[in-house]
Amino acid sequence: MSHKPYAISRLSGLIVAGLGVAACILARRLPAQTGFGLGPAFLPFWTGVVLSACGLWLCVRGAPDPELSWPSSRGLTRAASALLLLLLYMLVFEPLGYLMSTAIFLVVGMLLLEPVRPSRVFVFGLVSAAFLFVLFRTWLRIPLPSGVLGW
Amino acid sequence: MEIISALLSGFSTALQPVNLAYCFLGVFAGTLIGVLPGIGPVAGVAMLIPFSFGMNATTAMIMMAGIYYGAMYGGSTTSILVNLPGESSSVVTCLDGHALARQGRAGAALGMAAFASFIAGTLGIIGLMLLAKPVAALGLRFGPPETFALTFFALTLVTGLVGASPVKGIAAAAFGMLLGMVGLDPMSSEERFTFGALHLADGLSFISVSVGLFAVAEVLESVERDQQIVLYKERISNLLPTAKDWLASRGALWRGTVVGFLVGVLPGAGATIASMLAYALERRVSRQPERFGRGAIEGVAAPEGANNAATAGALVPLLTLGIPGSGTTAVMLGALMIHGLRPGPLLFEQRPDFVWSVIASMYVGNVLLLILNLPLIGLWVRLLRIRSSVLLPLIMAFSVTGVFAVNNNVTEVGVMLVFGVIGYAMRKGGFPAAPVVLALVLTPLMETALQQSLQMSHGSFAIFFTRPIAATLVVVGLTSLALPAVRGAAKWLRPASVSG
Repeated sequence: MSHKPYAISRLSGLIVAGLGVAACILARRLPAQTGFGLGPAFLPFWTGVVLSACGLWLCVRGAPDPELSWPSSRGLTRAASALLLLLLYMLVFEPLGYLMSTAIFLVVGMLLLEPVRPSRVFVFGLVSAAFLFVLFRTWLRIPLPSGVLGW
Repeated sequence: MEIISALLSGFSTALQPVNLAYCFLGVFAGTLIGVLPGIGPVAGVAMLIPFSFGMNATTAMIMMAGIYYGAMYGGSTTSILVNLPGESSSVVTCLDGHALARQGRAGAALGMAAFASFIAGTLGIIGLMLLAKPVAALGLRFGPPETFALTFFALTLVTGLVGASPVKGIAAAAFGMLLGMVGLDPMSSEERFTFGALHLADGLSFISVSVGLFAVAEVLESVERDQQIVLYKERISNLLPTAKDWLASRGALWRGTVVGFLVGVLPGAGATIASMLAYALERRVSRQPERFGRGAIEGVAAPEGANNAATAGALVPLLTLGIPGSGTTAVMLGALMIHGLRPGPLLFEQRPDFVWSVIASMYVGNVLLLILNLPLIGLWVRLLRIRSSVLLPLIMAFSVTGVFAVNNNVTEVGVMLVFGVIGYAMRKGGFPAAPVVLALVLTPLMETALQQSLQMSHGSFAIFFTRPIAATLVVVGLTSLALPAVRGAAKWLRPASVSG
């Protein structure tokens, strides 16, 4: 089991170093000097260098953190489902309108996390969405999407 | 006398019904955010910023400050009752607070946490009042080199103090700096890291990034772990600490306040560091250090006092120099800029009404919090019974609404989700998120100051070492960066048998 924290440290080091190198490459395409003095490439380039150095250090000397662990495949599936649901919520947010999209999101989200008492969850989801709608649109006057049904 | 009359004038604004209502809303939301594990003050303030667009800057700041210090009050409740810190600044409160709860003294621990928060919070505001004017006067002498040095100092300090690994802290700050460079270069207006996307030309919205990194990431991690809070079922009574408790906590309160306030004033260190240092100091000065961790009441008083004093201290660099010292104050700085205010030394001269109204509201807010946290403690305990299957979707609906309201654009929600995934990955890798937000907000200020300084010196970096204030800040910043490297090198050179 002890190799796992090392693997996390090395993987995160590789990602950090990759980001740093990418920042350096992108920065090299920007002017190094302008009429004002230092060009827009200076800070991104050196920040990229620092990031690459941190990444390399983590790869080579990164100490394992016993508190870190890989998520279980079941846990990861749950997190991925939540993310997918959020993504769908974002996609239907404008076409369906705030009230309907939020009600569907809340009901599906609650059932996804704990699939018990669907009728109660359904009522709670609808009431919560209506409450948020009144709070944001009527009280705080935030322009929220109306959607196909006009609300 | 000048301070008293300014404060009285501040009270006349802070006590106006609308400001009083938003102060109450802020401290109520803050306590809620503090009590509920899963959402911290950074995400809480960021999520509520779009809802403050209709308010004036003073009312908005009164509400945001209320959330910030309100979260410090609420954070202790879950630490004490269920050994689960509501906030990172209440982690050490778990040690003795929960031990006291197990001994049937939850009431005394909750009461001491609330009183310590009130006393230290109020003393912290007095410190803010006394220190703000001289620091602002000092700030008036700041030119671009000092501004660069201060932002550099703040970033170096936050990287070293947050999280277990300084290298991960530095990497997080560097990542945040790169995010802060997305958009147009401040001097040449050259596009950077936009990849041709029009949306990115204005830079990344710190609201979407902070809500993503903190709220979405926390929700994803909670869903992945599928943990339910263990409920506290005992009856809570005797919220007033005994005379013996007060006697034991007397010194801890003072020391916690002083340590908390001073740490809060430092740019880069916030309430979490303050509470940890105060706890460590208390254990060190105690005649019976073995009592700590087994239910010492001063182990509750010191960190809870310190984290509240730190919130008042953290407003000193924010309001007087325009430099945020923590993730939450970085978000507040961004919010104030949206409201058309540029915090800095001139704020005290140009908008004294704003500054003193916010300070006065903090006195009012602390009284409101004492009422909310003592007689109404039962309400917060009941809130802990809300199931995460209900809470998490509600937090997300709130986040999506808030981020959408930034500029009525669903693209911002997409940015939030991307940073939610990044924040989740950072948690899994043990990277702190606070330096990212701080660097994102500070980098434009830092880069402009750097370029202006080099224009002043015709390209010579010596300008940062020939001006006393700038030189001190840069040297201290470089030292705090170098220390972990030196320690790491020493460890490297040590024989394998010793290093274990």
